[in-house]
Amino acid sequence: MLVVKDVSKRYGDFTALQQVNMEFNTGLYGLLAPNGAGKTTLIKMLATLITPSEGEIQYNGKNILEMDEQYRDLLGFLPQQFGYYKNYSPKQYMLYLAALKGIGKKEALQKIDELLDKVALSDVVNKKMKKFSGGMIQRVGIAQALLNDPKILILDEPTAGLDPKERARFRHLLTELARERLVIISTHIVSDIESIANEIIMIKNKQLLYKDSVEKICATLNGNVFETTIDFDYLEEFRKKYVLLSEKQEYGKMIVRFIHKGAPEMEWNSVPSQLEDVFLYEYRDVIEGEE
Amino acid sequence: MQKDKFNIPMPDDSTIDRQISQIVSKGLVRRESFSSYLRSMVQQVGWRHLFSDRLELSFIVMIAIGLYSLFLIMPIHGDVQSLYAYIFLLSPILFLAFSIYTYMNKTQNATYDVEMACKYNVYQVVAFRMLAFSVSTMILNTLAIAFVAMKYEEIHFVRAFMISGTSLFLFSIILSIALMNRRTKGIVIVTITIWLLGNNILRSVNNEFYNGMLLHMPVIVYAVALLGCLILYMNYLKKLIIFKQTEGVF
Repeated sequence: MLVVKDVSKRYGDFTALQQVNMEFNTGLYGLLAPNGAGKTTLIKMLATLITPSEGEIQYNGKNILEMDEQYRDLLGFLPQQFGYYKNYSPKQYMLYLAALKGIGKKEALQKIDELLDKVALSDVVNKKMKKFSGGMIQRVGIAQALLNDPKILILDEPTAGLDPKERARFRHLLTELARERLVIISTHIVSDIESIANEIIMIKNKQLLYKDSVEKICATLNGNVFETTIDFDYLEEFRKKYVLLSEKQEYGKMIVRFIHKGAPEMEWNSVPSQLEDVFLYEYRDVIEGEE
Repeated sequence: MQKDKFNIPMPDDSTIDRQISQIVSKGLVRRESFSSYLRSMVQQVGWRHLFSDRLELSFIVMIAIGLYSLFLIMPIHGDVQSLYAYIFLLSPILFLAFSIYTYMNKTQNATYDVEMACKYNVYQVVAFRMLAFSVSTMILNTLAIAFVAMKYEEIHFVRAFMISGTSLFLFSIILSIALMNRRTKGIVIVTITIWLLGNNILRSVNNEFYNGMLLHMPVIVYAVALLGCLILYMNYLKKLIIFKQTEGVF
Protein backbone atom coordinates (compact mmCIF):
# COMPACT_ATOMS: atom_id res chain seq x y z
CA MET A 1 0.00 0.00 0.00
CA LEU A 2 2.49 2.66 1.20
CA VAL A 3 6.14 1.90 0.46
CA VAL A 4 9.19 3.86 1.59
CA LYS A 5 11.98 3.05 -0.89
CA ASP A 6 15.64 3.84 -0.17
CA VAL A 7 14.67 7.17 1.38
CA SER A 8 17.31 9.53 2.75
CA LYS A 9 16.87 13.07 3.99
CA ARG A 10 19.66 15.58 4.38
CA TYR A 11 19.63 19.16 5.59
CA GLY A 12 22.88 20.59 4.30
CA ASP A 13 25.64 18.54 5.92
CA PHE A 14 23.32 16.94 8.45
CA THR A 15 21.74 13.59 7.61
CA ALA A 16 18.40 13.03 9.35
CA LEU A 17 17.57 9.67 7.72
CA GLN A 18 19.62 7.33 5.58
CA GLN A 19 18.48 4.61 3.21
CA VAL A 20 15.22 3.83 4.97
CA ASN A 21 13.03 1.09 3.51
CA MET A 22 9.66 0.00 4.86
CA GLU A 23 6.16 -1.03 3.85
CA PHE A 24 2.81 -0.20 5.40
CA ASN A 25 -0.54 -1.93 4.96
CA THR A 26 -3.89 -1.54 6.69
CA GLY A 27 -3.44 -1.47 10.46
CA LEU A 28 -1.78 0.54 13.18
CA TYR A 29 1.93 1.29 13.11
CA GLY A 30 3.74 2.89 16.01
CA LEU A 31 6.82 4.91 15.15
CA LEU A 32 8.76 4.79 18.37
CA ALA A 33 12.03 6.63 18.92
CA PRO A 34 13.44 9.29 21.23
CA ASN A 35 13.22 12.96 20.29
CA GLY A 36 15.60 13.91 17.50
CA ALA A 37 15.82 10.41 16.00
CA GLY A 38 14.15 11.45 12.73
CA LYS A 39 10.52 10.54 13.49
CA THR A 40 9.12 13.91 12.47
CA THR A 41 11.28 13.98 9.34
CA LEU A 42 9.87 10.62 8.25
CA ILE A 43 6.32 11.66 9.18
CA LYS A 44 6.67 14.93 7.23
CA MET A 45 7.90 13.04 4.19
CA LEU A 46 4.93 10.65 4.44
CA ALA A 47 2.64 13.69 4.63
CA THR A 48 4.39 15.33 1.60
CA LEU A 49 5.40 18.35 3.67
CA ILE A 50 9.02 17.75 2.78
CA THR A 51 10.59 15.77 -0.03
CA PRO A 52 13.22 13.02 0.33
CA SER A 53 16.78 13.92 -0.70
CA GLU A 54 17.03 10.41 -2.16
CA GLY A 55 14.59 7.59 -2.85
CA GLU A 56 10.82 7.83 -3.06
CA ILE A 57 7.59 7.03 -1.26
CA GLN A 58 4.94 5.19 -3.23
CA TYR A 59 1.24 4.65 -2.64
CA ASN A 60 -0.12 1.69 -4.59
CA GLY A 61 2.91 1.90 -6.88
CA LYS A 62 2.68 5.64 -7.55
CA ASN A 63 5.07 8.27 -6.24
CA ILE A 64 3.13 10.27 -3.65
CA LEU A 65 4.72 13.54 -4.80
CA GLU A 66 3.50 12.95 -8.33
CA MET A 67 0.06 12.00 -7.03
CA ASP A 68 0.04 15.47 -5.42
CA GLU A 69 -3.49 16.47 -4.35
CA GLN A 70 -4.79 12.99 -5.25
CA TYR A 71 -2.60 11.67 -2.39
CA ARG A 72 -3.46 14.48 0.02
CA ASP A 73 -7.11 13.68 -0.64
CA LEU A 74 -6.48 10.29 1.00
CA LEU A 75 -4.48 11.75 3.86
CA GLY A 76 -5.38 12.79 7.40
CA PHE A 77 -2.57 14.51 9.25
CA LEU A 78 -1.97 15.84 12.74
CA PRO A 79 1.37 17.65 13.02
CA GLN A 80 3.46 17.73 16.18
CA GLN A 81 2.54 21.35 16.76
CA PHE A 82 -1.09 21.68 15.82
CA GLY A 83 -1.62 25.29 14.80
CA TYR A 84 -5.02 26.95 14.96
CA TYR A 85 -6.64 30.37 14.71
CA LYS A 86 -7.25 31.56 18.25
CA ASN A 87 -10.46 33.42 17.45
CA TYR A 88 -12.02 30.50 15.62
CA SER A 89 -14.32 27.97 17.25
CA PRO A 90 -13.60 24.27 16.54
CA LYS A 91 -16.57 24.26 14.19
CA GLN A 92 -15.34 27.31 12.22
CA TYR A 93 -11.81 25.97 11.98
CA MET A 94 -12.96 22.53 10.92
CA LEU A 95 -15.31 24.06 8.33
CA TYR A 96 -12.35 25.98 6.93
CA LEU A 97 -10.14 22.87 6.82
CA ALA A 98 -13.00 20.83 5.33
CA ALA A 99 -13.21 23.41 2.53
CA LEU A 100 -9.45 23.10 1.90
CA LYS A 101 -9.95 19.34 1.79
CA GLY A 102 -12.62 19.83 -0.87
CA ILE A 103 -15.55 18.68 1.29
CA GLY A 104 -18.93 20.32 0.67
CA LYS A 105 -20.43 22.44 3.47
CA LYS A 106 -23.47 20.24 4.10
CA GLU A 107 -21.44 17.07 4.34
CA ALA A 108 -18.79 18.85 6.42
CA LEU A 109 -21.28 20.14 9.01
CA GLN A 110 -22.61 16.65 9.62
CA LYS A 111 -19.11 15.18 9.82
CA ILE A 112 -17.87 17.91 12.17
CA ASP A 113 -20.67 17.27 14.69
CA GLU A 114 -19.98 13.55 14.57
CA LEU A 115 -16.20 13.95 15.00
CA LEU A 116 -16.35 16.56 17.76
CA ASP A 117 -18.69 14.22 19.59
CA LYS A 118 -16.20 11.38 19.12
CA VAL A 119 -13.45 13.43 20.80
CA ALA A 120 -15.83 14.64 23.54
CA LEU A 121 -15.93 18.27 22.45
CA SER A 122 -19.60 18.51 21.50
CA ASP A 123 -20.24 20.93 24.40
CA VAL A 124 -17.74 23.50 23.13
CA VAL A 125 -18.39 23.36 19.39
CA ASN A 126 -18.95 27.12 19.15
CA LYS A 127 -16.53 28.32 21.85
CA LYS A 128 -13.41 30.21 20.77
CA MET A 129 -10.35 27.99 20.84
CA LYS A 130 -8.22 30.56 22.66
CA LYS A 131 -10.00 29.44 25.85
CA PHE A 132 -9.17 25.76 25.29
CA SER A 133 -6.69 23.66 27.28
CA GLY A 134 -3.80 21.88 25.53
CA GLY A 135 -5.68 18.58 25.64
CA MET A 136 -8.78 20.13 24.07
CA ILE A 137 -6.72 21.67 21.24
CA GLN A 138 -5.09 18.30 20.63
CA ARG A 139 -8.53 16.69 20.41
CA VAL A 140 -9.59 19.26 17.80
CA GLY A 141 -6.40 18.27 15.95
CA ILE A 142 -7.34 14.61 16.04
CA ALA A 143 -10.88 15.38 14.85
CA GLN A 144 -9.70 17.53 11.91
CA ALA A 145 -7.36 14.74 10.75
CA LEU A 146 -10.44 12.52 10.34
CA LEU A 147 -12.54 15.04 8.38
CA ASN A 148 -12.03 13.50 4.96
CA ASP A 149 -12.38 9.91 6.21
CA PRO A 150 -8.72 9.32 5.27
CA LYS A 151 -7.31 6.07 3.97
CA ILE A 152 -3.96 7.07 5.52
CA LEU A 153 -3.97 8.67 8.95
CA ILE A 154 -0.67 10.10 10.19
CA LEU A 155 -0.44 11.44 13.72
CA ASP A 156 2.73 13.03 15.06
CA GLU A 157 2.86 12.87 18.87
CA PRO A 158 -0.94 12.84 19.15
CA THR A 159 -1.16 12.21 22.88
CA ALA A 160 0.85 15.26 23.93
CA GLY A 161 -1.22 17.18 26.47
CA LEU A 162 -3.87 14.48 26.91
CA ASP A 163 -4.72 13.25 30.42
CA PRO A 164 -4.84 9.47 31.19
CA LYS A 165 -8.60 9.27 30.58
CA GLU A 166 -8.26 11.05 27.24
CA ARG A 167 -5.33 8.80 26.30
CA ALA A 168 -7.44 5.70 26.96
CA ARG A 169 -10.31 7.11 24.88
CA PHE A 170 -7.84 7.97 22.13
CA ARG A 171 -6.37 4.44 22.07
CA HIS A 172 -9.88 3.03 21.75
CA LEU A 173 -10.63 5.41 18.87
CA LEU A 174 -7.40 4.46 17.07
CA THR A 175 -8.06 0.73 17.35
CA GLU A 176 -11.46 1.32 15.77
CA LEU A 177 -10.00 3.48 12.99
CA ALA A 178 -7.13 1.10 12.16
CA ARG A 179 -9.55 -1.67 11.23
CA GLU A 180 -10.06 -0.25 7.76
CA ARG A 181 -7.18 2.15 7.14
CA LEU A 182 -3.50 2.72 7.61
CA VAL A 183 -2.72 4.56 10.84
CA ILE A 184 0.81 5.71 11.63
CA ILE A 185 1.50 7.21 15.04
CA SER A 186 4.77 8.74 16.00
CA THR A 187 5.51 8.85 19.71
CA HIS A 188 8.23 8.48 22.31
CA ILE A 189 5.73 7.24 24.89
CA VAL A 190 5.75 3.44 24.82
CA SER A 191 2.44 2.94 26.63
CA ASP A 192 0.59 4.91 23.92
CA ILE A 193 1.10 2.21 21.33
CA GLU A 194 2.31 -0.94 23.12
CA SER A 195 -1.15 -2.46 23.45
CA ILE A 196 -2.68 -1.29 20.18
CA ALA A 197 -0.01 -1.26 17.44
CA ASN A 198 0.12 -4.09 14.91
CA GLU A 199 3.74 -3.25 14.31
CA ILE A 200 6.35 -1.04 15.95
CA ILE A 201 8.94 0.85 13.93
CA MET A 202 12.14 1.92 15.64
CA ILE A 203 14.75 4.21 14.08
CA LYS A 204 18.32 4.31 15.33
CA ASN A 205 21.42 5.97 13.90
CA LYS A 206 19.29 7.44 11.09
CA GLN A 207 18.31 3.93 9.92
CA LEU A 208 15.51 1.46 10.47
CA LEU A 209 16.26 -0.66 13.54
CA TYR A 210 13.06 -2.72 13.94
CA LYS A 211 9.76 -3.02 12.12
CA ASP A 212 7.96 -5.88 13.73
CA SER A 213 5.21 -6.90 16.14
CA VAL A 214 5.60 -6.02 19.83
CA GLU A 215 6.12 -9.71 20.68
CA LYS A 216 8.94 -10.19 18.19
CA ILE A 217 10.70 -6.99 19.20
CA CYS A 218 10.43 -7.96 22.88
CA ALA A 219 11.81 -11.41 22.02
CA THR A 220 15.14 -9.78 21.07
CA LEU A 221 15.78 -9.34 24.80
CA ASN A 222 14.29 -12.62 26.01
CA GLY A 223 16.38 -14.10 28.83
CA ASN A 224 18.33 -10.90 29.28
CA VAL A 225 15.99 -8.91 31.51
CA PHE A 226 16.29 -9.44 35.27
CA GLU A 227 15.02 -8.08 38.54
CA THR A 228 16.82 -8.23 41.86
CA THR A 229 16.96 -6.49 45.23
CA ILE A 230 20.13 -4.67 46.22
CA ASP A 231 21.31 -2.35 48.99
CA PHE A 232 20.96 1.34 48.35
CA ASP A 233 24.73 1.81 48.83
CA TYR A 234 25.47 -0.63 46.01
CA LEU A 235 23.17 1.17 43.53
CA GLU A 236 25.80 3.51 42.06
CA GLU A 237 28.19 0.64 41.35
CA PHE A 238 25.33 -1.48 39.96
CA ARG A 239 24.38 1.33 37.57
CA LYS A 240 27.91 1.35 36.19
CA LYS A 241 27.98 -2.43 35.68
CA TYR A 242 24.56 -3.04 34.11
CA VAL A 243 22.01 -1.31 31.89
CA LEU A 244 19.38 -0.29 34.41
CA LEU A 245 15.80 -0.16 33.15
CA SER A 246 14.03 0.88 36.33
CA GLU A 247 14.62 1.19 40.03
CA LYS A 248 12.14 1.22 42.90
CA GLN A 249 12.70 1.80 46.60
CA GLU A 250 11.00 -0.69 48.96
CA TYR A 251 11.63 -1.31 52.69
CA GLY A 252 14.98 0.49 52.59
CA LYS A 253 16.26 -1.66 49.70
CA MET A 254 16.25 -1.10 45.95
CA ILE A 255 14.40 -3.31 43.49
CA VAL A 256 16.17 -2.93 40.17
CA ARG A 257 15.25 -4.08 36.68
CA PHE A 258 18.18 -4.38 34.33
CA ILE A 259 19.68 -6.05 31.28
CA HIS A 260 22.55 -8.49 31.33
CA LYS A 261 23.72 -10.53 28.37
CA GLY A 262 25.64 -13.38 29.95
CA ALA A 263 25.41 -15.85 32.80
CA PRO A 264 23.02 -14.54 35.49
CA GLU A 265 23.73 -14.58 39.19
CA MET A 266 21.76 -16.81 41.58
CA GLU A 267 19.68 -14.13 43.25
CA TRP A 268 18.52 -12.54 40.00
CA ASN A 269 15.01 -13.27 38.72
CA SER A 270 14.60 -13.54 34.96
CA VAL A 271 11.50 -11.57 33.88
CA PRO A 272 9.70 -11.34 30.53
CA SER A 273 10.94 -8.43 28.44
CA GLN A 274 8.64 -5.55 27.57
CA LEU A 275 8.69 -2.98 24.79
CA GLU A 276 9.80 -0.29 27.24
CA ASP A 277 12.86 -2.47 28.08
CA VAL A 278 13.86 -2.68 24.40
CA PHE A 279 13.31 1.07 24.02
CA LEU A 280 15.44 1.93 27.06
CA TYR A 281 18.13 -0.56 26.06
CA GLU A 282 18.41 0.46 22.41
CA TYR A 283 18.36 4.18 23.07
CA ARG A 284 20.36 4.13 26.32
CA ASP A 285 23.04 6.47 24.94
CA VAL A 286 20.51 9.04 23.71
CA ILE A 287 18.46 8.85 26.91
CA GLU A 288 21.56 9.15 29.15
CA GLY A 289 22.67 12.07 27.02
CA GLU A 290 19.34 13.80 27.58
CA GLU A 291 19.65 13.29 31.35
CA MET B 1 -6.26 -37.16 -15.86
CA GLN B 2 -7.19 -35.56 -19.09
CA LYS B 3 -6.04 -31.98 -19.47
CA ASP B 4 -8.78 -29.43 -20.18
CA LYS B 5 -8.03 -27.20 -23.09
CA PHE B 6 -9.25 -23.66 -22.55
CA ASN B 7 -10.71 -22.00 -25.52
CA ILE B 8 -10.68 -18.23 -25.22
CA PRO B 9 -12.63 -16.60 -28.02
CA MET B 10 -10.85 -13.73 -29.75
CA PRO B 11 -12.82 -10.51 -29.18
CA ASP B 12 -13.92 -8.52 -32.21
CA ASP B 13 -12.22 -5.25 -33.21
CA SER B 14 -14.80 -2.97 -31.64
CA THR B 15 -14.54 -4.80 -28.28
CA ILE B 16 -10.73 -4.55 -28.45
CA ASP B 17 -10.93 -0.79 -29.16
CA ARG B 18 -13.46 -0.25 -26.39
CA GLN B 19 -11.41 -2.16 -23.85
CA ILE B 20 -8.15 -0.43 -24.84
CA SER B 21 -9.73 3.01 -24.40
CA GLN B 22 -11.19 1.87 -21.06
CA ILE B 23 -7.74 0.76 -19.85
CA VAL B 24 -6.11 3.97 -21.08
CA SER B 25 -8.75 6.20 -19.49
CA LYS B 26 -8.43 4.38 -16.16
CA GLY B 27 -4.65 4.22 -16.25
CA LEU B 28 -3.94 7.76 -17.33
CA VAL B 29 -5.30 10.56 -15.22
CA ARG B 30 -6.26 13.47 -17.48
CA ARG B 31 -4.37 16.65 -16.63
CA GLU B 32 -6.78 19.40 -15.78
CA SER B 33 -6.28 22.73 -17.50
CA PHE B 34 -5.22 25.65 -15.30
CA SER B 35 -8.54 27.45 -15.70
CA SER B 36 -10.64 24.39 -14.92
CA TYR B 37 -8.39 23.68 -11.95
CA LEU B 38 -9.03 27.19 -10.61
CA ARG B 39 -12.76 26.81 -11.28
CA SER B 40 -12.99 23.56 -9.33
CA MET B 41 -10.92 25.13 -6.55
CA VAL B 42 -13.42 27.99 -6.24
CA GLN B 43 -16.32 25.53 -6.35
CA GLN B 44 -14.88 23.23 -3.71
CA VAL B 45 -13.18 25.68 -1.37
CA GLY B 46 -15.40 28.71 -1.95
CA TRP B 47 -14.52 32.42 -2.00
CA ARG B 48 -15.23 32.74 1.69
CA HIS B 49 -12.55 30.28 2.70
CA LEU B 50 -10.07 31.36 0.04
CA PHE B 51 -10.09 34.78 1.73
CA SER B 52 -10.92 33.56 5.21
CA ASP B 53 -8.92 35.79 7.47
CA ARG B 54 -10.91 38.89 8.45
CA LEU B 55 -7.82 40.67 9.74
CA GLU B 56 -6.09 40.03 6.43
CA LEU B 57 -9.05 41.33 4.46
CA SER B 58 -9.28 44.50 6.57
CA PHE B 59 -5.56 45.06 6.10
CA ILE B 60 -5.86 44.63 2.34
CA VAL B 61 -8.82 47.03 2.05
CA MET B 62 -7.01 49.60 4.19
CA ILE B 63 -3.89 49.40 2.02
CA ALA B 64 -5.97 49.79 -1.14
CA ILE B 65 -7.85 52.83 0.18
CA GLY B 66 -4.67 54.40 1.57
CA LEU B 67 -2.55 53.97 -1.55
CA TYR B 68 -5.17 55.17 -4.02
CA SER B 69 -6.20 58.11 -1.87
CA LEU B 70 -2.55 59.13 -1.70
CA PHE B 71 -2.10 58.74 -5.43
CA LEU B 72 -5.26 60.60 -6.40
CA ILE B 73 -5.18 63.38 -3.82
CA MET B 74 -1.47 64.15 -4.09
CA PRO B 75 -0.76 66.94 -6.60
CA ILE B 76 1.49 65.57 -9.33
CA HIS B 77 4.46 67.74 -10.19
CA GLY B 78 6.51 67.32 -13.30
CA ASP B 79 5.93 66.53 -16.93
CA VAL B 80 4.05 63.82 -18.80
CA GLN B 81 7.18 61.67 -18.97
CA SER B 82 7.38 61.60 -15.19
CA LEU B 83 3.74 60.61 -14.96
CA TYR B 84 4.24 57.62 -17.28
CA ALA B 85 7.37 56.69 -15.33
CA TYR B 86 5.42 56.83 -12.06
CA ILE B 87 2.69 54.65 -13.53
CA PHE B 88 5.29 52.07 -14.62
CA LEU B 89 7.08 52.15 -11.29
CA LEU B 90 4.07 52.16 -8.98
CA SER B 91 1.52 49.96 -10.76
CA PRO B 92 2.62 46.77 -8.94
CA ILE B 93 2.64 48.40 -5.49
CA LEU B 94 -0.85 47.34 -4.50
CA PHE B 95 -0.38 43.82 -5.83
CA LEU B 96 2.89 43.63 -3.92
CA ALA B 97 1.33 44.73 -0.64
CA PHE B 98 -1.52 42.22 -1.00
CA SER B 99 0.65 39.29 -2.07
CA ILE B 100 3.45 39.75 0.42
CA TYR B 101 1.08 40.02 3.33
CA THR B 102 -0.89 36.92 2.34
CA TYR B 103 2.28 34.95 1.52
CA MET B 104 4.03 35.73 4.78
CA ASN B 105 0.85 35.25 6.78
CA LYS B 106 0.15 31.82 5.29
CA THR B 107 3.66 30.40 5.24
CA GLN B 108 4.75 31.64 8.68
CA ASN B 109 1.50 30.76 10.45
CA ALA B 110 1.38 27.92 12.97
CA THR B 111 -1.39 26.37 10.86
CA TYR B 112 1.06 25.87 7.97
CA ASP B 113 1.61 22.13 8.50
CA VAL B 114 -2.10 21.35 8.84
CA GLU B 115 -3.01 23.38 5.76
CA MET B 116 -0.11 21.97 3.74
CA ALA B 117 -1.51 18.45 4.15
CA CYS B 118 -4.94 19.45 2.80
CA LYS B 119 -6.05 18.76 -0.76
CA TYR B 120 -5.70 22.47 -1.58
CA ASN B 121 -2.52 23.42 0.24
CA VAL B 122 -0.96 26.73 1.26
CA TYR B 123 0.84 27.33 -2.06
CA GLN B 124 -2.29 26.66 -4.06
CA VAL B 125 -4.29 29.12 -1.97
CA VAL B 126 -1.47 31.70 -2.17
CA ALA B 127 -1.23 31.31 -5.97
CA PHE B 128 -5.00 31.67 -6.24
CA ARG B 129 -4.96 34.80 -4.10
CA MET B 130 -2.09 36.27 -6.12
CA LEU B 131 -4.13 35.80 -9.26
CA ALA B 132 -7.14 37.45 -7.64
CA PHE B 133 -4.93 40.30 -6.37
CA SER B 134 -3.39 40.90 -9.78
CA VAL B 135 -6.86 41.07 -11.36
CA SER B 136 -8.13 43.47 -8.66
CA THR B 137 -4.97 45.59 -8.92
CA MET B 138 -5.46 45.74 -12.69
CA ILE B 139 -9.05 46.94 -12.25
CA LEU B 140 -8.15 49.52 -9.58
CA ASN B 141 -5.14 50.72 -11.59
CA THR B 142 -7.35 51.14 -14.65
CA LEU B 143 -9.83 53.25 -12.64
CA ALA B 144 -6.98 55.36 -11.24
CA ILE B 145 -5.49 55.83 -14.72
CA ALA B 146 -8.90 56.86 -16.10
CA PHE B 147 -9.12 59.43 -13.33
CA VAL B 148 -5.58 60.72 -14.04
CA ALA B 149 -6.30 60.81 -17.79
CA MET B 150 -9.38 62.94 -17.13
CA LYS B 151 -7.36 65.26 -14.94
CA TYR B 152 -4.32 65.58 -17.23
CA GLU B 153 -5.11 65.86 -20.90
CA GLU B 154 -1.53 64.96 -21.90
CA ILE B 155 -1.97 61.44 -20.56
CA HIS B 156 -3.10 58.98 -23.21
CA PHE B 157 -5.37 56.43 -21.51
CA VAL B 158 -4.61 53.40 -23.70
CA ARG B 159 -0.83 53.91 -23.44
CA ALA B 160 -1.01 54.45 -19.69
CA PHE B 161 -3.19 51.32 -19.35
CA MET B 162 -0.70 49.23 -21.37
CA ILE B 163 2.27 50.57 -19.38
CA SER B 164 0.51 49.86 -16.10
CA GLY B 165 -0.54 46.31 -17.13
CA THR B 166 2.91 45.39 -18.47
CA SER B 167 4.57 46.72 -15.35
CA LEU B 168 2.16 44.86 -13.09
CA PHE B 169 2.59 41.47 -14.77
CA LEU B 170 6.34 41.91 -15.24
CA PHE B 171 6.71 42.54 -11.53
CA SER B 172 4.35 39.64 -10.72
CA ILE B 173 6.58 37.29 -12.74
CA ILE B 174 9.72 38.48 -10.94
CA LEU B 175 8.02 38.11 -7.55
CA SER B 176 6.68 34.60 -8.34
CA ILE B 177 10.15 33.44 -9.43
CA ALA B 178 11.72 34.96 -6.31
CA LEU B 179 9.16 33.36 -3.99
CA MET B 180 9.58 29.94 -5.58
CA ASN B 181 13.35 30.02 -5.23
CA ARG B 182 13.69 31.40 -1.73
CA ARG B 183 10.85 31.77 0.67
CA THR B 184 12.26 34.47 2.91
CA LYS B 185 11.40 38.04 3.80
CA GLY B 186 14.88 38.93 2.53
CA ILE B 187 14.11 37.89 -1.03
CA VAL B 188 11.00 40.07 -1.02
CA ILE B 189 13.01 43.10 0.08
CA VAL B 190 15.65 42.29 -2.57
CA THR B 191 12.95 42.03 -5.27
CA ILE B 192 11.41 45.39 -4.35
CA THR B 193 14.84 47.03 -4.16
CA ILE B 194 15.83 45.62 -7.56
CA TRP B 195 12.57 46.89 -9.06
CA LEU B 196 12.91 50.41 -7.64
CA LEU B 197 16.67 50.69 -8.18
CA GLY B 198 16.53 49.06 -11.62
CA ASN B 199 13.96 51.57 -12.81
CA ASN B 200 15.81 54.54 -11.34
CA ILE B 201 19.22 53.42 -12.60
CA LEU B 202 17.85 52.82 -16.09
CA ARG B 203 16.24 56.23 -16.00
CA SER B 204 19.32 58.09 -14.75
CA VAL B 205 21.83 56.21 -16.95
CA ASN B 206 19.86 56.40 -20.17
CA ASN B 207 16.92 58.72 -19.72
CA GLU B 208 16.34 59.01 -23.45
CA PHE B 209 15.99 55.24 -23.86
CA TYR B 210 13.77 54.95 -20.78
CA ASN B 211 11.45 57.76 -21.84
CA GLY B 212 11.49 56.54 -25.40
CA MET B 213 10.23 53.20 -24.22
CA LEU B 214 7.44 54.74 -22.21
CA LEU B 215 6.40 57.55 -24.56
CA HIS B 216 7.19 56.53 -28.09
CA MET B 217 7.04 52.75 -28.25
CA PRO B 218 4.02 51.83 -30.41
CA VAL B 219 0.98 50.80 -28.39
CA ILE B 220 0.82 47.53 -30.33
CA VAL B 221 4.30 46.60 -29.03
CA TYR B 222 3.03 47.25 -25.52
CA ALA B 223 -0.01 45.11 -26.23
CA VAL B 224 2.25 42.22 -27.33
CA ALA B 225 4.53 42.72 -24.28
CA LEU B 226 1.47 42.77 -22.01
CA LEU B 227 0.13 39.57 -23.53
CA GLY B 228 3.55 37.92 -23.25
CA CYS B 229 3.87 38.94 -19.58
CA LEU B 230 0.35 37.70 -18.88
CA ILE B 231 1.06 34.28 -20.42
CA LEU B 232 4.39 34.02 -18.55
CA TYR B 233 2.74 35.04 -15.29
CA MET B 234 0.04 32.37 -15.67
CA ASN B 235 2.80 29.88 -16.32
CA TYR B 236 4.62 30.84 -13.12
CA LEU B 237 1.39 30.75 -11.13
CA LYS B 238 0.85 27.21 -12.39
CA LYS B 239 4.36 26.37 -11.18
CA LEU B 240 3.63 27.93 -7.80
CA ILE B 241 0.49 25.77 -7.57
CA ILE B 242 2.46 22.53 -8.01
CA PHE B 243 5.35 23.91 -6.00
CA LYS B 244 6.84 21.36 -3.60
CA GLN B 245 8.41 22.06 -0.28
CA THR B 246 11.99 20.80 -0.32
CA GLU B 247 13.33 22.00 2.98
CA GLY B 248 11.83 21.27 6.34
CA VAL B 249 12.20 20.80 10.02
CA PHE B 250 14.25 18.57 12.23
